[in-house]
Amino acid sequence: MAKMIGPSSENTRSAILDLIRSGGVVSRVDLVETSGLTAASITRIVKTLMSDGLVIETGFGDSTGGKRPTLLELNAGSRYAVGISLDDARLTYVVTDLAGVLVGRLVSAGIGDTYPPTVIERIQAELDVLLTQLDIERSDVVGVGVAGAGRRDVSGAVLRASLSAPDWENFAVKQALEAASGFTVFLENDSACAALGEFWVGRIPATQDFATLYMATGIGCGLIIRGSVYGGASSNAGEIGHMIIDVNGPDCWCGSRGCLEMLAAPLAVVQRALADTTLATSLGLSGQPSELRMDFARIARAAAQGDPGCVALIEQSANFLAKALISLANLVDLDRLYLAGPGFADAGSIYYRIIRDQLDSLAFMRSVHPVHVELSEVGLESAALGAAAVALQSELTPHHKVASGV
Amino acid sequence: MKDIGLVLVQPTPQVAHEPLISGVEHGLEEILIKSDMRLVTRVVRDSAAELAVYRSWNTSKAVDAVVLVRLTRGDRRIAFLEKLGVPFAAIADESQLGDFSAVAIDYAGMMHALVAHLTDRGHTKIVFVSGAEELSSIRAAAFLAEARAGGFDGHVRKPDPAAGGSDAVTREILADDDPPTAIVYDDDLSAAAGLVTIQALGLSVPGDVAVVAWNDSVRCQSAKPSITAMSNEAHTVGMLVGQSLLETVATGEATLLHAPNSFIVEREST
Repeated sequence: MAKMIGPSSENTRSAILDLIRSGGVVSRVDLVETSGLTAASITRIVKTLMSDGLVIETGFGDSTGGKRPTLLELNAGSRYAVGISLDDARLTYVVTDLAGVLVGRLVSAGIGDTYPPTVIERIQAELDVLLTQLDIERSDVVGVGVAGAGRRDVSGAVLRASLSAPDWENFAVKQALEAASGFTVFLENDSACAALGEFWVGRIPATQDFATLYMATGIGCGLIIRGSVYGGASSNAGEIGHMIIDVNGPDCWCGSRGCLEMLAAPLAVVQRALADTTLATSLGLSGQPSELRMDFARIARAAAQGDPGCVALIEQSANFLAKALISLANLVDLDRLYLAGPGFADAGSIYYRIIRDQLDSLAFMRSVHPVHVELSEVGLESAALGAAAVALQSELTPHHKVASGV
Repeated sequence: MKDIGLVLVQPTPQVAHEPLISGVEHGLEEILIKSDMRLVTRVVRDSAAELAVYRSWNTSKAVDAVVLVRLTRGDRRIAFLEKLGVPFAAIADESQLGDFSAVAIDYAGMMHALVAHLTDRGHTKIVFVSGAEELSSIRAAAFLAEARAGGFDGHVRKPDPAAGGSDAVTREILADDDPPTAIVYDDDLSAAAGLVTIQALGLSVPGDVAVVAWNDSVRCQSAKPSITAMSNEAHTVGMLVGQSLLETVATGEATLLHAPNSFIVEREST
């Protein structure tokens, strides 16, 4: 392995901590070898990490001739990170330990069309409630990651581009929540978080590129290229919801026509269902904008139980998603895709089947390699888990944060 | 604002995701959010830690009521919560019911439907590969009761995770002089792993051996061949346990609700 850590780097400490974390159980000698630092430097850095409670000694390794080496391990329970998924239908908070393992979660009502400062006030209060419920001290929390929909500006405030919540446009979530809660807040796109969440649970080798399609009220896509989120020019990559699927399609609120979101997102499915008054009545659809996601869930659940009209509606939505994913896979030459987010909670298996079948039969590179698609195992929580990972990485391993621009 | 608590015991630190539990949580959250309530989930390492959490929640009043999952026979959590005076509702098998709020699942009835699916197809020797959790032993007992009543040759095998788990136990089962023609796995993960093992031994599914999973999931659907499974009613069970709990909190009375019976989702593996 390349020796990559310079002794003068101000991030040396966090880099050593990351080596201990990724190594599981390591000795000081291992750290000298992988870091390229001197034994004296490692001894000094490990001493400070231990005095801060971040690293503990766990026993002795095998002797290679001399004294048996002391083994070091991350003290996972010494610090925690919070991840929040800022979703229309439900707010999900997760708390992970230093190793990224889930410690607890809280779910409350979604942000709906609530005025943003009111939501921030509620989040601040719910953070306190959750930490009490989990018996975690505020001082042990390294930061709060927030996964939200929409465009980010360069300062890191989310310009939330959403039909259902226009108030969030130009609302500086990061600054408002930092002021209210006193925690360091990190903001990241929900699709990117969902992809990071997948990565974080360790199911995917760091070298493998993949994309996560995230569907909540809108549709986005997180791209992981060479182990990091691909951000593009302004950290706004992955807007697959505005991939144009039908050049003569319906006008989109973004200014284009026939965008994927206008054809496949929950709003499109609910509108088609409402046009069939018999179906709408039998499902008890409300048709109210504030009930959009509930209405979509009713359709998806009926589809999962085999209602033919609802199956057709979900299949139509899945067909559009499949076409967009074929284009994405062809463009980037991906061999792995994940479907994540609350949009797949109820009828995920129908989406999965159609998208898999179409990728199997239509992806351009299918004769060279298959394109695997999976429903995310961390499913509904993936955005919140990814947001917690962003907070952990930014706070404890700042040598990694270059690409994300957080 | 009321907070409902759920404690999950996970012996090893992992981010492992359980589709059944997460389905239950999702349904439960839906009911709670409508009533302007919240769900807090806390992950602990063992049952002693679980009881300590209830004690702490009761002292701090941070949680108003709790949901119990993975009930065991004579589960000590029930008496513990009753003594603390913390309202609760449990997800329980019909055989585990008592004077407390619950949503009842009829495992024996579900097993009857599953076994009938196999015996209708002419299977006379069937093995049930059980899982680690205690509920699995209730299902294993239901399976053996079906074998006695239904006149087929039924055996239960419990895989040892340390000795190769589902893969090893599948090899042992099929190394028998008179191997079964059908294997029922207690969960989707073991079924998918068992399927791979059976094929690696050069046998065909369902031609030589039929495979059924107790829990349906996308994993069953994506396996080749796709795996026949019991339908997953976790979301509905979650909603029902939420309703039972709301009723209990409102009236102080024990409320019993019944989960809809799962049905066989027939696919290519049987």
